[in-house]
Amino acid sequence: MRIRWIVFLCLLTLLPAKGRAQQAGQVELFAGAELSYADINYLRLYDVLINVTPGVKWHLGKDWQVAGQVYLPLINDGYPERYDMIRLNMANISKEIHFDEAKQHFKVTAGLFGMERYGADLRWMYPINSWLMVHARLGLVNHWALGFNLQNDVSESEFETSQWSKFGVAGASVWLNPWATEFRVSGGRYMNGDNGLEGEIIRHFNHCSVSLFAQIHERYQSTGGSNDKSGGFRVVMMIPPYKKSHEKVVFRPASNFRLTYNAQSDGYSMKKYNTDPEENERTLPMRLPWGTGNFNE
Amino acid sequence: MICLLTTTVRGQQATGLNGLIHVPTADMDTVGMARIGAQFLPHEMVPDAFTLDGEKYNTASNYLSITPFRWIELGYGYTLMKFHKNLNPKRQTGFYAKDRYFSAKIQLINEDQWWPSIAVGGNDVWGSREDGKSGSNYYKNYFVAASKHIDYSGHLFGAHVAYRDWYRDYNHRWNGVVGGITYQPAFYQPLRAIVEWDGNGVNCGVDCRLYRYFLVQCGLFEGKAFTCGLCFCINLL
Repeated sequence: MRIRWIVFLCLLTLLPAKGRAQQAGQVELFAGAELSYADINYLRLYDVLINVTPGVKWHLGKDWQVAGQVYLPLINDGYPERYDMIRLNMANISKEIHFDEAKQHFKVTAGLFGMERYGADLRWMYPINSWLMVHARLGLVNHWALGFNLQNDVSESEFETSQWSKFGVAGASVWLNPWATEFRVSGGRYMNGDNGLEGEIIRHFNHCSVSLFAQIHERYQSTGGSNDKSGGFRVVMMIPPYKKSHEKVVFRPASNFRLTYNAQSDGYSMKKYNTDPEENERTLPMRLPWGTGNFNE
Repeated sequence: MICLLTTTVRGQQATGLNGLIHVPTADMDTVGMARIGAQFLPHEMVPDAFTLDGEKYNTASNYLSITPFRWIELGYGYTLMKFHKNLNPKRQTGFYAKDRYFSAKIQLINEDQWWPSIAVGGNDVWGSREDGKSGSNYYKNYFVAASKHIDYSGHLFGAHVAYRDWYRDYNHRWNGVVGGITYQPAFYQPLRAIVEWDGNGVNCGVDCRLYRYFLVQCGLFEGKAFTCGLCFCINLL
């Protein structure tokens, strides 16, 4: 079953594509920061983890891209010891495939993803019209983490498992142009094998998006979690320069800074892995002129 | 009259929403305005649940808020809570936890030449179930408010009245009709003087927009306790 998946994803990458990506051969080197925080004890106000996140994107032409990212830990106050390591967070290759006349758009990614996963990922987007789009995402992933043996309270089996997990999420987006507002509904099977449903309303501003979301999901019992509903907000702030450069080698800050607040997070439910080092909820994963049209930001 | 409606970012720094010091108003921030800020709260200004070893304590609040559309303001904030470290009474005390809450305000009627603006809203409007782990609802309250401004030779006077209902018994001293008046002098409109009745006492203070991106507020709570706050505000549009 696993082999069939991988063969299918590999065959998709051989399909022809139109040259709509960044300039072929361009290399983008960038760095940002990642802030993780958790309010789970009475030892400190927040557990805090701050990483500097240098990354690279190499545009190979014809919508092929190689991406990589390293985590350089800066502050670790309360998070597991293994996050003190300098580590590779992402290394993958992706290919976008566009069937413009049929309005069918695909992106295939394979390699090491974020959230300590590796495998293959397929995204599909179908902009039915200027205000409605349906989309789906399928993945086959496994654990991949450095330094798990540094942490005493996590069994090695969590990371040494060879069990592949299927990821599948589908949804729809509605774009209300007069109000620069987007509604998203999506649901399915998430990274840890749990099922859930999410609704989100996103208000897009010039270079910032703010959203409120609500989630309903299976209860996560392993850590005594009792909540099956949650919600919170997200802020995605784009960082200048806002226009893509056409230089052969580009040095720049990371394109965005994201903040997510999840009121009842159990750290497990409805998790998604990233396939792009700058992935965010504002910018579509593929270059499509839909919604804000901010794919080039 | 138009200039009356261009006041943009104003007070209630404890929650991050537009208001006076401890009293909500029907005024709204400009659409697209986002705030991040903090306020020092004397113990008189916080609910009686904020006690450690039987004593109330001074604390502070932090918040993020936004006005995504002209008619709605949303805020997330928390008030620092003092505990013994790891809840062990033999260990040191400090701000090891927080009470988090969401605030919302919806403006039903926009102010015009004759009508005041009318808004409904509340703090701690979501979460904190009674049967949950927290069940706090320390700040839970709902209000309906009206605001009207009058321009007299460039001097801007505001009248604000609200009816407020607090959920917790120990906050009932702030229930009922509350309100206040504001004054912005013609020679320096970013400055605003405030006198308010919050249901239990009279508070007074000033707030001022500084260098476009900052709002500072200082006041005396019930005439005796000092409070102050600072926020960074930016229009995202």
